[in-house]
Amino acid sequence: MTARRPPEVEGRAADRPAPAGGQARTGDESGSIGGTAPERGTGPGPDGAIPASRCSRCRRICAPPTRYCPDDGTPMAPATVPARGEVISFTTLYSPPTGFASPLHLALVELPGGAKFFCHGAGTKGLRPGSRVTIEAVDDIYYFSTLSLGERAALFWRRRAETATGRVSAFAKSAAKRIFRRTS
Amino acid sequence: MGDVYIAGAAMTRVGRREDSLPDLMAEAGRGALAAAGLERPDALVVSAMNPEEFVGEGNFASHVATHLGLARVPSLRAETATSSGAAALFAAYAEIAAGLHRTVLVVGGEKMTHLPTPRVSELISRSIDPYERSYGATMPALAGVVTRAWMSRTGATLRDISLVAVKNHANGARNPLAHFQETVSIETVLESRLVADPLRLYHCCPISDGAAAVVVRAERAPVRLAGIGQGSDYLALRYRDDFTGFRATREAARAAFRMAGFGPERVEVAELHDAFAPFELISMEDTGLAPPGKAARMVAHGETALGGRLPVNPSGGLKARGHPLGATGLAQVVELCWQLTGQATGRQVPARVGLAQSIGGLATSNWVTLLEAA
Repeated sequence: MTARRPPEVEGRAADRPAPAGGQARTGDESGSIGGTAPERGTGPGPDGAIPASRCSRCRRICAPPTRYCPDDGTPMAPATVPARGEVISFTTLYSPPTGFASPLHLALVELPGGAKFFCHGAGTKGLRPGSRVTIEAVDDIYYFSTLSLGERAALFWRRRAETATGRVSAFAKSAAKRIFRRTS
Repeated sequence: MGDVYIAGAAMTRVGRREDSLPDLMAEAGRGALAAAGLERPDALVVSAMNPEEFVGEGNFASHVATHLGLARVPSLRAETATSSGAAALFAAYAEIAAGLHRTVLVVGGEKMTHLPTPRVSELISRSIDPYERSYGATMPALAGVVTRAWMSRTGATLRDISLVAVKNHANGARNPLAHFQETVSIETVLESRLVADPLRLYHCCPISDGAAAVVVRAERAPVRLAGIGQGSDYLALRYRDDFTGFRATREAARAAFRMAGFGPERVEVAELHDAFAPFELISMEDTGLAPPGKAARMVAHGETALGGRLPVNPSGGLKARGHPLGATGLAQVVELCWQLTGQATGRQVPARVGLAQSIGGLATSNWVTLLEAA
């Protein structure tokens, strides 16, 4: 898990509607109109896929979804994109805006299908342009992680195995107890 | 369309200024009118990126016009974020070239140093895409992202980038109007604190107050405005495909050179938008002043220093002269006018053709202007 505690919410901004990504605190999004406002409902899909939009004319994909294609103005249709990709670039900000904890790690990741996606991360150690990352949402905020799908699967199965072993030993203990009770 | 000339140029000292923004703009505007020997222009074009929030003034073109004693002169304000000064010059050019007016005063300025730095940073960052901003992206953050992508594609090093800041501070030390007038060593640059990795403090321009102005006219004058072009790009960085440069600069350069009828090989001095030191290298390549991937080597070999083959940012650039947003695009043109007419005392270079390049926002609305000694 690369998720970290989301930065504190500034009191003044807390009563504003949360934009996509969940933690905008610097701009005056409440005053934005039309296509310039961050789209709502851009949280993760049920399978962890990233909500996106696709242009019916040029096939361009945007993540998060946006109403009109930035290239030809065509209304875009809803789509999803796998939550993994290749790091284009990244930075660590040491004087982040109010409401964000320092240091703030930001990455631009190219998703399958070509859409590029902004996300946070727990760190950039060992990261370089071209690194493969997975992306997951914590409280509607997207984070990149350098854990590969294989490493993720290995961690998942190890945990399953540990849990299973735990169940087996608990079952054995209770069975032994029962036998002990009967015999005494 | 007839030729368009610049008849007078002036600017204030850049830095932390006590004067009000209208006072700064009046100082620059009166200076340009005096240099052009003109009492009253036919029209006024004003540029300021965000006077509403930086100084709390609206209807700003009329405000400046009245403050200058030009209330009866038609005025308008041009705005393209941090390149607004160049946009104002474009509007004036268009007014003259279309035959609507014979003389136009162009004045740009900004005042920010009276506000706390986080507030200034927040206001400037409003020119970023709202979604990217919602993730905490600021101008330095996006510049850091662009710089790392560009470094990984070109092989440029931190040292290459830092040499730009060293050169521009050396030039600023010779410019009495510059915000910073002291030299810095490469160690100082490389050891300054990290702002947005890999960018350090000395890779970033300061927050400055100041104003600049030019008089544009149809009658022949010592400097001809040979070409001016605009280029654009997506507001969102995530929509872009090419991280080897800025499309907006390339398009602006193409348009400006097409208008001028000559190519980058004729340019002998340039003022480029080094809001972040690597942007000077990127901009050299985007404008065609350096072959792709060769800008860093030109800087390292001293070719862009004051005594070099192609001096870049003799004023000190945004890094050392300073970056009073709405003034910057015009301050570049003022410096080039002085260079082309032998008035750049202490930092004069031999040149007859100059190029100015101004970046608006995170390179969403860029301008390239070509000036020629007439």
